[in-house]
Amino acid sequence: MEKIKIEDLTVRFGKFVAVSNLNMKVRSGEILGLLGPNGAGKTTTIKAILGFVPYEGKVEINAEKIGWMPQNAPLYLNLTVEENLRFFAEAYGVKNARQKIEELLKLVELEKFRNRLVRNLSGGMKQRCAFACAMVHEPDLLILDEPTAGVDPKLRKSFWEYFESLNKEGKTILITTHYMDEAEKCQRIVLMRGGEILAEGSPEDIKRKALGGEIVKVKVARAEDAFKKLKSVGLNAELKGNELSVLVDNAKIRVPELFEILGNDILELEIERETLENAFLRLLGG
Amino acid sequence: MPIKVVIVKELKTIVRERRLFALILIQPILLTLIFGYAFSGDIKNVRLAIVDESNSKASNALISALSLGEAFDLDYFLATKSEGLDLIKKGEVDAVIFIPKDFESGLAKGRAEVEVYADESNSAVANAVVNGIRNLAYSISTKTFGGIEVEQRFVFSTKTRLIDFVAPALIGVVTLMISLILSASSLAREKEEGTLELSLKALNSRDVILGKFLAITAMITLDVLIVMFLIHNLFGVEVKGSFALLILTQLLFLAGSVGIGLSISSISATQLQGIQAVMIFGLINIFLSGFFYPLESMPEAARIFALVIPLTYANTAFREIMVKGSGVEQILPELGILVLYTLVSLTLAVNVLKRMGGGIE
Repeated sequence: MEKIKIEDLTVRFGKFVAVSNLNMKVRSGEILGLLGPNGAGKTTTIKAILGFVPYEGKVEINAEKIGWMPQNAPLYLNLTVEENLRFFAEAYGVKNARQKIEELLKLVELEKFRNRLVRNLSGGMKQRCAFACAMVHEPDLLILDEPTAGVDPKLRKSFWEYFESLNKEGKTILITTHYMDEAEKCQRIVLMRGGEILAEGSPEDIKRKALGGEIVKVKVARAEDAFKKLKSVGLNAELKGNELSVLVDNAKIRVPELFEILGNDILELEIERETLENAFLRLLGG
Repeated sequence: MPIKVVIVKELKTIVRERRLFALILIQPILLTLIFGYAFSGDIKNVRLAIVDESNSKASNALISALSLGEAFDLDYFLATKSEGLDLIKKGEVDAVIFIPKDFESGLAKGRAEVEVYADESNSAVANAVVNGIRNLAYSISTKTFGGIEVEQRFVFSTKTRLIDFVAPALIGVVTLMISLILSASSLAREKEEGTLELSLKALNSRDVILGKFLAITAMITLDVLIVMFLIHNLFGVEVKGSFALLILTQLLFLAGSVGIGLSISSISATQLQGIQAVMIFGLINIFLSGFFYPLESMPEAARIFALVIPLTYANTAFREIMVKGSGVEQILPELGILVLYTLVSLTLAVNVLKRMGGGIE
């Protein structure tokens, strides 16, 4: 089942089209990464999902409660950490608010700072507080807009530990980020540019798509022979010295085939790890 | 209750925003002191010329009432209005009082007219004369035809002070400015900081507006009390009518103004925009409501403007209660308009926010 189903979504600001004919689904129980360069339309898409911008098209939401953490972690600066949590808990009409707040303060490790005004928090603490506020009414769908922007690596790691443990509990997460290591952790990625979807799929799918497959590097004993053998079975190979670069559609299937064809001539074999970053740059550049 | 959540949050936010809170406390004190001292002189020896075409018992009563005390000097008794106007232009007199032929018969019908021509350049004096005459005429008419023994205590009988006339308007102006600024910045600030959309995810726009409205109104009630305390204790202004009624009227007026401020900040993208917009509203109110410039001497177009300005009605009501000691019955029309003002502006704010902010139903 889909938590969010978006059909032909178009958002215009005057003459500027921020999102154009977007079709996208967020499946129940997945972590979906919405990625793309600044101005790609990620935040606008989120605002449309939440109903804060007028749009054309259809947005269907099958979540009972949505937890939203907007960009830049807006909070009431003149309220303390605990008061912010209590405000949102009471506004949402949360039962056992006190208990829930304690739980969250513990989760985001802000127990010691509960009485500090948000105004006086560090960036990372503010980010954690905003996350806790988004969680206070136990949402089944979390929409997180750059939750880790400007957060140090250690804290980013613990953020992702929260996300992954929440996901294990069955919560659906829609997240935007500019960090590639985070994108790798998403089960699915939607890559946007200029208000449109450029690519969609698992991180591996995206890499494959960017490259048109995967590259397997093989060092062989008799390079010329090997090269000819590969060409004769119609594989896309290049020869450099005694190293062959073979572009295959799916390494998992093709590597055993390579062993069959080249047999004992193989000295070394390596599936080239394309980084997601390179894949993105390739896709965005093209 | 959702509204309570918003009120508590709003009050904490305002009180902890130290500069803003200081402004809320200091602004009424400063405005009251400045205006208070500026207008604290007595009205003495206002030079009058009288044109009495009526020459009746009633007109004589009015003239003798004017001649009591130090407020007015009756320097000239003239035959025609134009002679009087010349004297004003030459600066020989401050005002001309024209009592028409039908003054006494008009009084019997309950609507006698006295025309007052005053030197517009000195609007405070003009204002005082106009009000003085109005009060005198009112008490003469009650005394003569009401059949009720009215105490012969005219406003101008012994000593007349400008502050007594300015004070009621002062309250209106001070509450107006503060309620507009505070409410205009309130929603717009949340918009700037991004908390508005976040809280609209949890609350509907009605609760947000009403919560803010009640919190801001509570803060400004504090200001009303400060202004009242100062003008009473520092400038000795008395409230002749019911104090409770006065406070109620003030609350009504400032409630409407908070509603306007909230509506404007619902459309504004930033605090600055919001404050600039309410300033325009505020200034139009102040200049055209008769505070600086008596309504009677305004051109007709401006007077029509004054009719649609809430402050005009608030000032009238304040003046009735404080100076004349009027009760609810006398200010019913003003009260009605102020109630309407509050309801309309609040409904507007809720609907504008709903349209602008989305949020839950």
